[in-house]
Amino acid sequence: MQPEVEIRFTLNGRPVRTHVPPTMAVLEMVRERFALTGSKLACGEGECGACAVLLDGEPVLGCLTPAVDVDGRVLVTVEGLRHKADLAPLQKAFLMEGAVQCGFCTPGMLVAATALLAEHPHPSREQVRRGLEGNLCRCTGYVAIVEAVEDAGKR
Amino acid sequence: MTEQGYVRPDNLAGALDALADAPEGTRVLAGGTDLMVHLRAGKRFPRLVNVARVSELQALRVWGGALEVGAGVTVARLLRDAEVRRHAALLWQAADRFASPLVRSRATVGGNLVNASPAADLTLALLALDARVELVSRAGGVRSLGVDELVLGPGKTALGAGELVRTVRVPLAKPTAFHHFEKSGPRPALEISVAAVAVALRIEDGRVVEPRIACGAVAPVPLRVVPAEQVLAGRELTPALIEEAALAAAKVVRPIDDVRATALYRRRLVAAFVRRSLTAALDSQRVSHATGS
Ligand SMILES: Cc1cc2nc3c(=O)[nH]c(=O)nc-3n(C[C@H](O)[C@H](O)[C@H](O)COP(=O)(O)OP(=O)(O)OC[C@H]3O[C@@H](n4cnc5c(N)ncnc54)[C@H](O)[C@@H]3O)c2cc1C
Ligand code: FES
Ligand code: FES
Repeated sequence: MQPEVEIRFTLNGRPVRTHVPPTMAVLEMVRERFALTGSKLACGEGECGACAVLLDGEPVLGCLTPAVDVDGRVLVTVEGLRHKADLAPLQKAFLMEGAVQCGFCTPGMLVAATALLAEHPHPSREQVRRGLEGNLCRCTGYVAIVEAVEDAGKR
Repeated sequence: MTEQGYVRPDNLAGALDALADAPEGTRVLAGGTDLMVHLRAGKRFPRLVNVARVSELQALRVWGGALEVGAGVTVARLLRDAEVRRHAALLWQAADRFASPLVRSRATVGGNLVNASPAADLTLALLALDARVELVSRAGGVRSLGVDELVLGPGKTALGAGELVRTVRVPLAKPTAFHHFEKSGPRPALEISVAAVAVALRIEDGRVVEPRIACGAVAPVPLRVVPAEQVLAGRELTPALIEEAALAAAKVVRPIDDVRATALYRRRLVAAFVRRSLTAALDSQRVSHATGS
């Protein structure tokens, strides 16, 4: 057994505390310690982005980021993207454009797109494509996803 | 892992202490974009020294005629930094072509060097920029190596026991400098390179000065193609000279066949990338002539 490390951080706006093994990834921590199952494990190798979360506003891979590294910082998962009781404009745009099929890639797409829109509030198509470079989708062919993000940038 | 197995020091002295008496096989953990893949696959190390909180590895500034880049600086930070773009455009371009935003936010300069992949993009740019890598240990103090002295083979470096990479020093680009980075992969943004070429040179009085051409993913280590550099040195850049240099570069590299590409294809890519880089240099010269600058 590895000795666990105590960490404290802000999770989706709320201060939290937990103990984690030092090699546990953020992805397993949010799923197993906090029952936030929006972030998905797909490849586990950094290639697909289904596990993406925001760390101090930057998009990172949940599967390759050690959980201990969120100590003292601000973590947002897909569950933290909604605006109070309502969906965020980006999430509504995904619904409007039909950007969700099986939905497995959607949490990571939303997280990566949120980071992109924070940096470029009105992104060009090229900027959207580059912002989502690290996210794979096996269903949609990307067109609806890119359009949804562009749309959200126009609101 | 035992109590000894994991350390998260607050500063450089703590990190060096944790490395000094460390068991063989101890690893520094920086961004984790390489190491966490191995950990997830079940690989275990006798000790991990997590340097995320070591502020001494976070330097990024112009200092003493060089751009000083801390080992813990991420690719995303390089991209956001105006000094990097201005003084080390080649490093900035390599950062711009590096993986995706999700990886760039965590991947560090030190990790890229010590991971010692033949396809490491930042390492390739640093090689072409004549960067010096500063290693530090509790017992041995500080020593400085060139990139080609540090990176010895796939996954193999000259890093000694108890040593870590502290900083990289990149000489500031002169106003006459030209930098160009080319890379290709099956999914260009995400996949490791099939081949990459980094070119740094100066054009002074119409002649090429101190040309550096480094090729990635076509030899066991990022490789400077010296015969191609010699073709260019002291000469006037012309389409014929560019062709000669491109062919010389393709001849020197030692690519392999693998699942991503054949050796022949890689050799052709190298020639094409060198040609494209040098043609861009020629064009930039024409532009600066036309504008009289
Ligand atoms: C999906 C994906 C895409 C990628 N794309 C690219 C790409 O386009 N180009 C590219 O070059 N690489 C790419 N990589 C590889 C990786 O991201 C880089 O090599 C990165 O720079 C490693 O940095 P890190 O901080 O994450 O390293 P870590 O995983 O933390 O460490 C890597 C190695 O370096 C050692 N180390 C780290 N810091 C130090 C230090 N200061 N002193 C001594 N040793 C140290 C560690 O012990 C370990 O052996 C990719 C990886 C993934 C998962
Ligand atoms: S699960 Fe993290 S990138 Fe695929
Ligand atoms: S909707 Fe199925 S993977 Fe994207």
